[in-house]
Order: sequence, then C-alpha cells, then structure tokens
Amino acid sequence: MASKITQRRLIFVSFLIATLFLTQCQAAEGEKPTVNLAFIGPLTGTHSSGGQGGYNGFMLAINEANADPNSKYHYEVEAVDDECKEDVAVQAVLKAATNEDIVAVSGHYCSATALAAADLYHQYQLPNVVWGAGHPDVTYGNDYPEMMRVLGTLIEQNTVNAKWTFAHGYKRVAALYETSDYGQSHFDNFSNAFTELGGEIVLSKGVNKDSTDVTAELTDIKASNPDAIYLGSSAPLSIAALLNMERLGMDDIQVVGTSGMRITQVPDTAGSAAEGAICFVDGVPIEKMPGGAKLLADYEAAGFEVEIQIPWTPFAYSAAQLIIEAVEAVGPDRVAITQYLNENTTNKDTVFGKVTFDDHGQNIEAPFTAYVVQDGSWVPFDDSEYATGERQLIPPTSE
Amino acid sequence: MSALEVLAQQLINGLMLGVMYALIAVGFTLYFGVLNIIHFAHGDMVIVGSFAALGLYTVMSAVGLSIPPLPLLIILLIGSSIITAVVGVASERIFIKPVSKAPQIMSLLVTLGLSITLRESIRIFYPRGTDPHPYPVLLPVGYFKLGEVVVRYDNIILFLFAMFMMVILFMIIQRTKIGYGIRAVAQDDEAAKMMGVDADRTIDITFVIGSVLAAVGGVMNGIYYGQIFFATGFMAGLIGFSAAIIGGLGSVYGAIAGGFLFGLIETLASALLPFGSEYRRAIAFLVVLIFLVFRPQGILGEKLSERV
Repeated sequence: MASKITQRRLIFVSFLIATLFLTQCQAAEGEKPTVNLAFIGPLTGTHSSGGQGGYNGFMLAINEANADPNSKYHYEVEAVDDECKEDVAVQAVLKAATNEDIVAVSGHYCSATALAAADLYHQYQLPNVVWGAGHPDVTYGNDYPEMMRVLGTLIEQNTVNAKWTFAHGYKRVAALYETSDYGQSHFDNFSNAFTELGGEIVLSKGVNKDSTDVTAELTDIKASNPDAIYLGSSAPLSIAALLNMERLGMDDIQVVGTSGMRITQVPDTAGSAAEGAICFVDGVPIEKMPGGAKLLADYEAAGFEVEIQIPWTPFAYSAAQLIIEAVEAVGPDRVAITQYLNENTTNKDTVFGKVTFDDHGQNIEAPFTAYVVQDGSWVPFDDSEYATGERQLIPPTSE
Repeated sequence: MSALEVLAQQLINGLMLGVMYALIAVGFTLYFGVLNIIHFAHGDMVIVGSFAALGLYTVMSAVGLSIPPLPLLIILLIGSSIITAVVGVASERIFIKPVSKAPQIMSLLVTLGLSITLRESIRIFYPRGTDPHPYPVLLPVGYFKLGEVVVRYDNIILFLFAMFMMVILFMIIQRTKIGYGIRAVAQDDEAAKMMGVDADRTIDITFVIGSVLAAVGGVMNGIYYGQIFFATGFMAGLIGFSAAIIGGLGSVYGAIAGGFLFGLIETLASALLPFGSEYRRAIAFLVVLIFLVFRPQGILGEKLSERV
C-alpha cells in the first residue's frame, strides 16, 4: 500500500516537472532577441532638462517598438550621463563603445561632448545618431560614417537668426558669447551672416561658460549702445547674462539667443529677466510636426517629471526611430547599421518631419523656428502675443 | 554712457564682486590664523549656507507661512547660520581635528575631500540638486541713476551689511573674551591652554564664526546673482583663498583688501584689456602668483621668521 502511494507521488512529481520544463521551452521560443542601444546626454547638471527631455523622447520610441508585435527585436537602452562635460563624455562613450552588446547610440546634447567623443565612435565603429549637438564639425569636421545627425547645424541656425534680427530693425548688435566650441561657433556664424546682410557687430565679449558674474562685460556692451544683444551661449551663461542685465538696468535692450537657451531652466531660473528674450531652434513647433500631437499626448500620458522639451524630445524620438528601422532591416550589427543609415536615410518620415542625410550624415532638411519667452514659457514667436502686437519687443535703440 | 560713467559702473561692479570674495577670504584667513589650516571646503560651506536658506524658504512657503521680506531675511540668515554652523563644527570634530597635529598636507587633503563631499551631498540630496535654482527676492528691487550709472538699492544694502559683518568680526576678535581666546590659540595653543584657555572650545567657536560668515556669504551671493548652483563652491573657495593670500593669510584686514583687489582686478581686466573678458580669471590669478613670488606675506600680512 505504502509503495503504491509513493509510486503515485513519484509519477505526479515527474509530470509536474515535465510540464514546467516544456512551458519554459515554449516561453523561450516566443521571446524576441534583445538588442542593446545607448542614449548619451546630460542627465544631470545645468542642461539636465534638455537631456532628460531627450532621453524621455528616446524611450517613448523604444517602448513603442517593444510593444509592436511586428518588431523582430526587443530593445533595451542604457542611459549614460555625459554631464555636458568633455571628459565625462569620453568616459561615457567608452563605456558604451566597449560594450559589444550595444550596437548603436543616440548622443549628445552639448556640442563639446560630441566633438570630444567623435573619434571614439569611429574607432569602435559605433553608429551615433546625434539628437542635440549643433556644432557643424560634429558631422562636417570629420569623414566618419558613424557620426550622423537629425538636427541642423549652427550655420543654418545663425543664418536664420541673423536674417530675423536684421529684418526686425536691429542693425547694431553686441555679442556676449561663451568661449567654448559651441559659443564660439555660434558667434562666428552669426557674425558672418549678420555682417553680410549689412548689420554691424558693435562689440563682442567672450567669457568662460561657467561665469555667473558678467556685469563687467555687460557694462561695456551697454556703453556701446547696441540695438540688441546676441547671446551665443547655452543655458547657464544665458541665465547669468539675463539676471545680470536686469541688475544693470538693461531692460531696454532686446536679447536674441541660440537654441541652447531653449530649455525650461532658462525662464524658470531667470524669471522676469527672461521675458521677451528670443532664441532660434531647429525644427517646427510640436503642433506643426507630423507626429507632434501624438508625441505630446504620449509624453503627457507617461507622466515624466520633466516637461516635454522642444525640439530635443522630438529629435531624440526621431533618432530612435531611425536606429530602430536600421536594426530591424539589417540586424544588430554596428557596421551594417551605419551603412544602412547612411545609404537609406533619404526623405525619411520622422516625428518632426523629413530627414535626409547628406554624404556626411548631416540632415539637410532641418527648418528653424523663432521662440520668445512669454509669461515664463517658451512660445513659438509666430504664435505669441509679440507677433500679434499685443506685446511689444524692445525696439532698436537706433530707431 | 561717457567713459567716466562706464568707469564708475565698473568700479561698482568690482566692489560688489570684491565684497563677495572678501566674505569668503575672511573665513579662510580666520581658519588659517587660528588653526594653521587651509580650509578648502569653505567655499562649499558658502553654498551649503545658500542652499540651507533656500531650503528653509521653500519649506516655509510650502506650509503657507507669509512673512514680510525683512523679517523673512533675518529668519533665513539665522536659520542658515545655525544649519551651516552645525555642519561646520561637525566637520571640524569628525574630520579636521583628528589631523590637526599631522603635517599640513593632511588637513589640506581632508578639507579637499570634505569640499567634494559637501558639493555632492547638495547635488544628491537637495531636490533637483543638479539644476540652478532661482533665489527669492528678499531685498528692495529697483535702482536710481547717477547719470547713466545704475546704483541698485539691494547693492547698497548688501555692501553695507557685508561691511557690518566684518566690523562685528573685528569687534569679536579684538574686544571680547572669545576673541582673546582665539588670538591666544592662534599665537600659541600650548601656552593658551596653560593660561586657562579651553582650546577645543575656542576652535569650535572659530568654526561657528567661520560657518556663520559662510552662511551670510551664501545668502548674499544668492540675492546678488539671483540664482545658486551646487557646483560653484569650489571656484568661489579658490578665489577666496587667493584673495586671502593677496591680503595676507592670517590678517582679517588683509583678507578684506585682498577680496576687493581680486574683484577689481577681474572687473577692470575685462573692461580695459583687449580680450580681457576671456582671460580675466587668468589675469587675477597671475597677480596671486606675483604676490606669492615677490611678497608672500601679502599686502597686510607680517613676515614671520621660524627658528629651526
């Protein structure tokens, strides 16, 4: 009797083990292979809202791909913080590049970091679709097929900026710019474009990008009696300049700046000092982007701590779209992905618009939009009360 | 603006920058004079002070406390001073005192490590610590003009208050029993102990005073620039230390002079020299090097001879 009970228990346990084993085998057969990507940007520090906005956009695209039953792969992303510092960026890229599982990257936000790490991408044959850095040399300063970019360059941005500034009657402009590659490139390109139109750079002052006290420089700028001040800087120096201008009573001089200002930290920190400041940014307002409405809805539904950052969230989302398409087409192979992106990115539809890579991996279809700070938020200029005439920009002093 | 008006405005800019540096420099000179240590974390203590005040302000706003600006400022200064003093004395007892008899390089390394710890602690534990934070407006805004020279009301108040703090410090050091003790320990701690001075308590009091100065400097810095950022403490400390060297390490008057001189050099270098704005810091630090080579005792420091 006892042996019969033991025998039945033995059969039952064996049946249970076999069932579990077969279930796991079936689960393994149904799982997609995992592809590892990396996102690199300033996730902490003074540019973190741009970096976090970009990362969130990138992850929205990844999550969509993972939820798509037609995707061949499951995508995992390693987020690496470059802190908008060259030395940290090199470490960040090395970390991604030496991980053979990572087949593609979307990085960076700060031009200095992209420039510092460009050689590494080529050395490790790691494709990088840049989502934020605008310095021309990121794509045109090398012949690396691995370096590609969805946004435009500082050249086009400043040409648009110069035309707008000149057309609005600001003929005499003083410039305060940071002496980093980013700031210097902005100033050089703006200066060239503006003087070609017949404008005059009455004074220019370069300062360290970490400066918080620029009262000395702004006092000289004030004395030069400009129509407007051009800020060739990213957020930290822009914030300091706006606050110092308020301190010096320079509320009668219009400010025009660069895409580096176009993050929420600028109006949030500078407060009323930022009201009416203009900047120029790649891309169109999200409402006018082909996939903008859906992206905005998905972003808000996701409940991210950082609000959507225009244009950085759509750019990073688009970079992810391109990378995913390449991986789906050619598989998780760095060289094949690079080749696919360079050869097939022509008139590609992305969330923000068309993308076409030229022979340097540079998107040549990037539009630009003017934004203005209105009541503490960045608003497309054409949609603002400044455009309708309800509010007035500061008129040129030479009028 | 005429050239004279530009110069006048630049002098105001330089004096305001100088007073910020002087407040930090005085702290450095106090620590060096009493304890013979270079407290490299002092710059980050200034940032601790500014964040402490901002944190108190945020909490008070969150619970709905509505206080007029002047009493609010006093509360924030007192609260920030208490918090910073606790951090300062705790740092001294845990990290600095154990190495006070060791070679000076040890206390240098300890305070450098403390500097990094304080900075990273703000970054990690303060909400959104990596972002720049706007500072509340606690002083009257607005200005009057002398011709085209802008003179802000808050600049005047900040400058006078900083001078007041330095006078208070001078009175404490020169006219109080605590001050006698501090000077006695600074001259010879063994002899001071023999004369009945509680050296440990005196050192604690020195750190309280230094931390209060840091807190006041931090709040003033936040009010003046309108924003604070966790990473600015190290450079502020380096400049404050350099200003103390120019003035003469160990001399309170020298630290004040050094702070103003450093601020004026930076400002005038930017204003008067071609490409001066790009190299203003380099020029100011070059002046420090020149002092170290040709007058290491600084402007008001004394040459000391050491028996070997």
